[in-house]
Amino acid sequence: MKQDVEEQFLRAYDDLSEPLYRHLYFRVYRRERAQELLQDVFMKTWNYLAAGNQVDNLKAFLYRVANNLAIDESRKKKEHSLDQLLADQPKLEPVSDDGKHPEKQLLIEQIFKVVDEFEEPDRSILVLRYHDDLDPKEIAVVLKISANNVSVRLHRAHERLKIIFNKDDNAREISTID
Amino acid sequence: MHEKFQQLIKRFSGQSVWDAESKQAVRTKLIQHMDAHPIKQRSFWTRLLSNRALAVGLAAIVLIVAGGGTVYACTDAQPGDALFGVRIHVAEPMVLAFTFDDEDKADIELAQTESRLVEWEQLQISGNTEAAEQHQKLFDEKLARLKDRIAKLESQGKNDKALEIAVRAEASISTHEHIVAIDNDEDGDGHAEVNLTSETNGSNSHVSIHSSAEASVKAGDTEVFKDQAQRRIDQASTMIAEVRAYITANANKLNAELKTKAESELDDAQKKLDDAKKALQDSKFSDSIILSANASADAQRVKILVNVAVRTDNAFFDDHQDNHDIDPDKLEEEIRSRVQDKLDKIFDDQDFPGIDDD
Repeated sequence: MKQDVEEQFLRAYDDLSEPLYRHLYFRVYRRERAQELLQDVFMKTWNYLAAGNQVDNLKAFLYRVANNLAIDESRKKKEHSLDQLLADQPKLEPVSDDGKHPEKQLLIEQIFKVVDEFEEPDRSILVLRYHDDLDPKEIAVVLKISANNVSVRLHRAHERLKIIFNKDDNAREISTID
Repeated sequence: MHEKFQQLIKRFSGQSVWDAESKQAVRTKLIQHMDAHPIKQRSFWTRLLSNRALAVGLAAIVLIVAGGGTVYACTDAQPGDALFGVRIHVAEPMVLAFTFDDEDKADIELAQTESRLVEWEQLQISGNTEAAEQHQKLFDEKLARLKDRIAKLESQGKNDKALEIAVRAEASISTHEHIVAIDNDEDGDGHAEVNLTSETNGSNSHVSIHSSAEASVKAGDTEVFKDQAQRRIDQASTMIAEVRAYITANANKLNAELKTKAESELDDAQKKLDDAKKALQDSKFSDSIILSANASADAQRVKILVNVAVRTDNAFFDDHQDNHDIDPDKLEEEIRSRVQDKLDKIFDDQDFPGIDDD
């Protein structure tokens, strides 16, 4: 039984560590920190299993731990400015000749702008749905809410995204006219 | 518009590739961590209860036994009821087991001790000497535990709470002695043949809980009896109201005959309760207490009958039209079988990896 759990756990690491890393990187925007958090995710999950607890859906459990750690991290780092966060990312691509990465910066700014419009748990729902491709049922397990609640929140988020992007389009049109 | 958002995210995500070297490095650290923190072996029960689904299932069973429909036949089950054993061996210890504060435990143990006392009292009043003697042992056990609890509170410096519990216990015992004394004083000489043995159980408590018959009637007891009479009225009133609500809620599950009979018996219980209230107003505290006790007993009998009928879709009751003919053993067997069915279903529906591996 012990061996089974260990094997399942390491298999989960092999299969899920990359998507979980990407999830964490998206949430914290720093490679090293994302890797540290990923390690925390798996170690905390292992500690839980080693204590004799049973996890029915390991994938959902890992995403739940990752999501919680990411939320904690964003609370801790709330005071950090975007510039600071960008300065912490030496490996971003593509890198322009002058050593900066304007495309990436623009992309992050755009995403930041949109994501910041949402509070938890809607923010997590959007990320899990569109970044991690989890379906509402999986998201429901991760966030411990009902699938119906996830669907309703997603629907509302879509409505809000429409407004946000329409506003952006209008602003762009106005700036073009100017 | 969420497509635009998704595109933005995918563009970002596409650039966040994790290199294989880092992945392997974390994997190595993880394996070291796993070696340093091996899986602990846990007891069968710990693992059983750590399984959320099963824990919920077991809780459901407890609720079936201690709550829900059967609550009427269990948490207030009286001596002689089929579920009385479940009440004192399962429901009550479970309530204590899930109470973690010593002061709260003391309150619960006092309530349980008072229950044993009232039950004993009713058996004595009904003239069921043999059952009363048996029940006295249960009371003695409860009282001994209560004394230990009081001593523990004192050792923790919680003297006020210890005193409060001791005084309340003493008041209950004193009232009980008075009631039983009246009931046994058939020759009118003022001396009842009541033997309370709670003093013989020993106690580490510095707070004395008097239980001698002499303590029953003395100056200053009036307020105690009045208070006790009011409490019994409140208890009986609550029980009658609950049973009435239960009958109403399950009216569609009862056959007309049973419903009429139950309501009629409950009306009789209500009349006794009204008499108890009147006796209290007339300062006839002992009469009031006995009438309340009888009203409670009547309501108790009704609720058991109704509950059995509801849970068995009247089938069980149809075989026992006369409520006094209900065989407690058969009833217990019936309920046990139903609980077992539910347990089987829970075990069948769940996969418990590892439980049988040890």
